[in-house]
Amino acid sequence: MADDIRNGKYYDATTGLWKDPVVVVGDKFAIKSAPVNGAKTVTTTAAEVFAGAARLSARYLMLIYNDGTTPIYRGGSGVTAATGFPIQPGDVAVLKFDPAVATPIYLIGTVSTSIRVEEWA
Amino acid sequence: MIISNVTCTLTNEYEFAVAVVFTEDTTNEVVMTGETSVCVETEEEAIAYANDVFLPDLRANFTRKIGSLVLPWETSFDGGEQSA
Repeated sequence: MADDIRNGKYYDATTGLWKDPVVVVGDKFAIKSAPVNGAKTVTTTAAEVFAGAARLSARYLMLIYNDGTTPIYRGGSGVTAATGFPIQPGDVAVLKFDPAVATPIYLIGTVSTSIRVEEWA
Repeated sequence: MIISNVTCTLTNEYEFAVAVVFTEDTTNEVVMTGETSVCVETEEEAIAYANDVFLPDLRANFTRKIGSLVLPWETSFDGGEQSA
């Protein structure tokens, strides 16, 4: 018998059982608290980027705005201007995270560059 | 006045974890802490990054908490004659 839905139940053809469908309640990526904002400086040394004094715990979103006049480059540890993914002046990088996995992001520039950062958790 | 204490720990071949603690100099109360990672080869470079970039950024973003922080390379003006 093919998979079917009747009377609010889902028929699992593999097991032959009528099951309750999965119901998703809420959204872990919805706004639950105010964001953390910061104005930071990207230099010619690759360093971790975040909005506050340390990486925001359980963050699910980080926005990076290049407030300078030269590109900056993002990536993992050891990123360089030659290998990093560019964020052009005036552009915003939107990075989504798994809140359960603390993942550092690094930035580097060819000159000292001002950026704005916003983190959501 | 706020004073800072920077410590650096080697975490990878070319990476240091930088931790900073800001305390009130009269009470020794911890006002704020911060931490970051920087990709440099030596501890001296990591400390230099902290003093030249990380701490100034934190001071600019948290003026109410650590606005009175004086960085190692800054000198406070204590009055005296000014040139015309």
